[in-house]
Amino acid sequence: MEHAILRPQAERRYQEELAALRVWDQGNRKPENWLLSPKAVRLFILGSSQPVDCGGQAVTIRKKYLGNDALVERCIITLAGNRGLMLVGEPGTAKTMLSELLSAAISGCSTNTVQGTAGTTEDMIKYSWNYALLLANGPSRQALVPAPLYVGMEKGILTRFEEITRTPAEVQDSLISVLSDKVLNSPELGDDGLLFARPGFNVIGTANTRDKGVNEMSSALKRRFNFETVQPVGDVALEKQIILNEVGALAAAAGITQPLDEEAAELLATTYHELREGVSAEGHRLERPAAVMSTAEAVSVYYQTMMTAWYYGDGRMDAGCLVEHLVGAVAKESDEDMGKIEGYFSTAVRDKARREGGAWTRYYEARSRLK
Amino acid sequence: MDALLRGQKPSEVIPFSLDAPVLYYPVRHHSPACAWHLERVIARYAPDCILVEGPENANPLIPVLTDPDTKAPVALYYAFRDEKGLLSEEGKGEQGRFRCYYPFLDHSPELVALRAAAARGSYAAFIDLSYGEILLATQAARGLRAVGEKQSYASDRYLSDNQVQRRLCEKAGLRSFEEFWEKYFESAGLFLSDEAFVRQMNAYCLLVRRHTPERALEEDGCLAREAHMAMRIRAAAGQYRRVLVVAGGFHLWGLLHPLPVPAWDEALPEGVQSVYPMRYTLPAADALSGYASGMPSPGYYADLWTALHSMDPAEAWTAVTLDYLVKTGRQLRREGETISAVDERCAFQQARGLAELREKPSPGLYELQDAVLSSFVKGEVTVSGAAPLRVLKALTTGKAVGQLCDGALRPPLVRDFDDQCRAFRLKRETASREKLTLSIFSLPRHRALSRFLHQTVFLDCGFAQRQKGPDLQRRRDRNLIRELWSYRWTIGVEAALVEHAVWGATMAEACGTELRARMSRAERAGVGAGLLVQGFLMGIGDVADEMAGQLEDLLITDGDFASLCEAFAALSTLEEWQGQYGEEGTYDYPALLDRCFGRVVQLLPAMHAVDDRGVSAVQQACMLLYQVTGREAFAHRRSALVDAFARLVGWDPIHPALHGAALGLLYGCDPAWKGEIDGTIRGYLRGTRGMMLRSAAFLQGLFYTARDLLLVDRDFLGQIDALLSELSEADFMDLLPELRLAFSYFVPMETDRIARQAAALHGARGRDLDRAAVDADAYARAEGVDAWAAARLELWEQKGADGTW
Repeated sequence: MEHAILRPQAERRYQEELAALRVWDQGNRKPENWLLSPKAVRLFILGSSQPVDCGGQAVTIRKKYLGNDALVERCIITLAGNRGLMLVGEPGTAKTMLSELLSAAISGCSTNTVQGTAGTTEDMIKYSWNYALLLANGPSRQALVPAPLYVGMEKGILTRFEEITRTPAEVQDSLISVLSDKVLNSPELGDDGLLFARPGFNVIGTANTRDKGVNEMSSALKRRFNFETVQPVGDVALEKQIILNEVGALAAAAGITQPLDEEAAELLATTYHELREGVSAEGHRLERPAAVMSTAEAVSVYYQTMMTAWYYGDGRMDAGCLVEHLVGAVAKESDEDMGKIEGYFSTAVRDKARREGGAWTRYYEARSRLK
Repeated sequence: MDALLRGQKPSEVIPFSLDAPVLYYPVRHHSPACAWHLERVIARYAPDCILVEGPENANPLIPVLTDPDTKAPVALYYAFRDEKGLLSEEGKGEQGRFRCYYPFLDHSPELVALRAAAARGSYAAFIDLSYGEILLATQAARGLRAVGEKQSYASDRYLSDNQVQRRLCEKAGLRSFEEFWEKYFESAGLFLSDEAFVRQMNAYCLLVRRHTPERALEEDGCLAREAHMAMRIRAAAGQYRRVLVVAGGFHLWGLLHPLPVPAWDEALPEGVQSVYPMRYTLPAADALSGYASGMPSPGYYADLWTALHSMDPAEAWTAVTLDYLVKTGRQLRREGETISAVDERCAFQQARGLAELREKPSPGLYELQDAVLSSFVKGEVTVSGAAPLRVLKALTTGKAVGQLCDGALRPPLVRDFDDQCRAFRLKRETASREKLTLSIFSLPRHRALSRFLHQTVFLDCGFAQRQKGPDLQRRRDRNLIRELWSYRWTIGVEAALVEHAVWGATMAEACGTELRARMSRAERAGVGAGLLVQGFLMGIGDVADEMAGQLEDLLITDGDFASLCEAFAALSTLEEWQGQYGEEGTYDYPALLDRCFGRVVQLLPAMHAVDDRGVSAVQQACMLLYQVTGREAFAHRRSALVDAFARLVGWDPIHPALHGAALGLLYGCDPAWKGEIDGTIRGYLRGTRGMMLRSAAFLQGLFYTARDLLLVDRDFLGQIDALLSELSEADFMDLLPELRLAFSYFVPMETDRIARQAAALHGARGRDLDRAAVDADAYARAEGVDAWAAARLELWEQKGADGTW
């Protein structure tokens, strides 16, 4: 019996859609070794309002990335070219999700990934050795343990490099020759040491602008990437929809059957949107918290509140509990942030409560939990 | 679009048959695709009459627009002066002036139609209501009467700003109406037959029209306009065999089915509206510039239009896109960015790939923008990191400036402006600000140029700005000998000149007329004299004769001392600077100044009761009067001034600051007044407490006009010192703030000298002045308090930590 997985990878989560799109894709031009054509990749990520005809079967392709359609198109075309794709932006703007979706659709594999950290070394990117075999037989392909870059080149699939700017500059720079010459040399293997990348290979990097910025990347490496800046969602209604979609998926995986509370999603979407923008819909000028006010954070606050209600309460979400989790999410960077949140409640939330009542009033009344 | 077309009822589709006696061709302003198909349709249909949507009061200007020497972009400038208050609530004052532009680019279908008619020898005419009539047919704050500075007749708001369009973009996954338009009309439209293109245009326009409420059309004056155009079309159809109507796609349905809207029974009075052709610029024609006229990035589309005449459409789009990528790269390299040929190649690949993904025949403006964003921007897109996008925006907007043919009906004022710009070699073809440094006192040519620039400032053209130089109006920076100007030609300059065209044929004449008009409205001598200064700077001395008469009247009737002082100061400046500006003898300013002097001196004694707020102005006036009588030409007036000052100081009560100032000046005229000064100071300081407190103000006035008194006369210092020593400490402390102000007229070195002398009077030496500000006892006391507070705080912290507080 197969064990349940906490978070299945994108190609498994959407395997029906991907299979249907392969049928739909007949006759479309596609780059060598791509599983889907650029058009089908776009359709997979951006979805379609009508079910699409896949060999006589109508399949609904859901919209998975809500935001900038043109950005997705640019990403796809970049990956079909000979430059890598670098997604940069604030934390929580769905860069990783987009990178996963692209890899799943193009290569059918989103797990060929290097997770960049301060301790990432070159052999975690290129290859290392099985030392038992190495000592027994000397350097050979069998003794070589390929890392994601090697795998990508060998199979002609995408290699994802998460948080690339967290890694030391000299490690980042090991990508330069691979990206320009598309060849990786393992000198230990002698004449057999040259690995030429197969078509379909490319690199998707992600970098968040809160940590070490991309400014510290060498310009030689920058030149080998096309940069795409992923902006936070600019529309409250869309942000609310994202929260509901994401929480819905998390709740389903966790077996929580309580229906989603749309009002709470709206409160959170509005709060996060207004604090991020520094201005409320009514025109109050707000102080922006130093903490990351991303949609992903809003999803997390919502989900925590939902779980609290599910396990400790009657399942219904409580405004007080929502505010407590909001405090937990915001009070990370500095104490000043709490003052900013209190300021938001005593101006924008107060006025919304007066004007709209209902959930906003309950939200405002729960301000005593802001501690 | 095909899906849309299938949804149309046949009865609603506008017929388009080349055999029909009247052929309706739908356009969008500044659309190259519309213009491209229109050229073909005209060749195939061979009309003998072309009617174009546009206010018909511009009909006499059609030959100017179609003249081979006229180079686009040009515009028609319409102005309407609602002097009779026809537009009710706005019919008063400045708000009663309305204006709008109708811009034409090479790829504007309307201009293509007019040019084709001229080339074929066909009749061509505009058929819309005149501008004034459109305004009358429009409700307040709607359509062309909407509030806003920039009004364009060629507005696309019907086509682009509606719900249908928003939903279409959403469904098609496109970012904006403009992207939608480019994809389906500009790009794909070029591969359609003329008939199919027109059908697609009509289908879209009908869809939009169906979703526009009838009431909005009525309020915007749209229905009245369409009824009028339909009437003109009917009349032309009776006269010509083949009539081609070129009108906004949105209006075609209305032209075919005009509503019985009441015709205008009242003709507009003569002269309330005017229309002139004028040069225009590509930046102003950009839809994003705020004029809401046609499409964005006119430079890009202008190049596309040129390319379309030498290669096939797919090639033309690709070539223009590549050209802009290369230009952007080159410009970025000039600015120090590291954009290589490889980047350009990648960007081009990106543009082509995107076009294919988006199912466009070739890359267009939006693929160009996306390619630059992907391949040229290295790092995060922020304000600072978006140089490539900024450069691309500037390039695609373009910076071309149009040109009008020689015989164009241009107001003589505009021609004179152009002639003078040419004569002075001022650049009018650049979009950047130019700078000039003028040696106005040494070079007559520079002085002449300065006068011209002053004239443009006076007419409020927004052309030039003086950044540095002697400022005669505000009487500042008169030590400078050069003027620093910056200037830039924009379409606003020409618009302002056209507005002032009725005032005269030359810049000088127009300024003269306006100057006289303002003088006749002036109610104060100060304002009148200010106008005279402006006339002087503009070098229109001949106006001074007429204006001086009016100013003399003002000098007599104006009883406001401040205003007369202002006039006196202005006239004094003119008298003083006449020589430097090479205007010696052009007008008898001294005589005028003399008259003004008489008035000021006459009113001066009455100023004894001036309040605290006004006293400084009167002090300044007294000082100026004194300075003027120091000039040789006015020396004979000194005695009259002395009399006036003497009368002034004879008044009781008198403001102490004015008292001091007047006595100081009297002392300047005659040292014999010294005794009076001594007595007065004594009187103040030894007087009642109220008078004593006013002594500081007296000293302030005295030092303002005669500070040398204290420096040259040691006895005087002693007297003041003795008097101050008599005061109690409390009184002295009350007086101190104003005393400090009084001594602020001395420069630090002088203050130092006075302080040493005063110290010497008390047996102290100079270095004793540097003693600490606090005495030792006070310091010791303060230290004790500090130690006590520190101890208490420490105790509090200890107890607080234990929780036993």
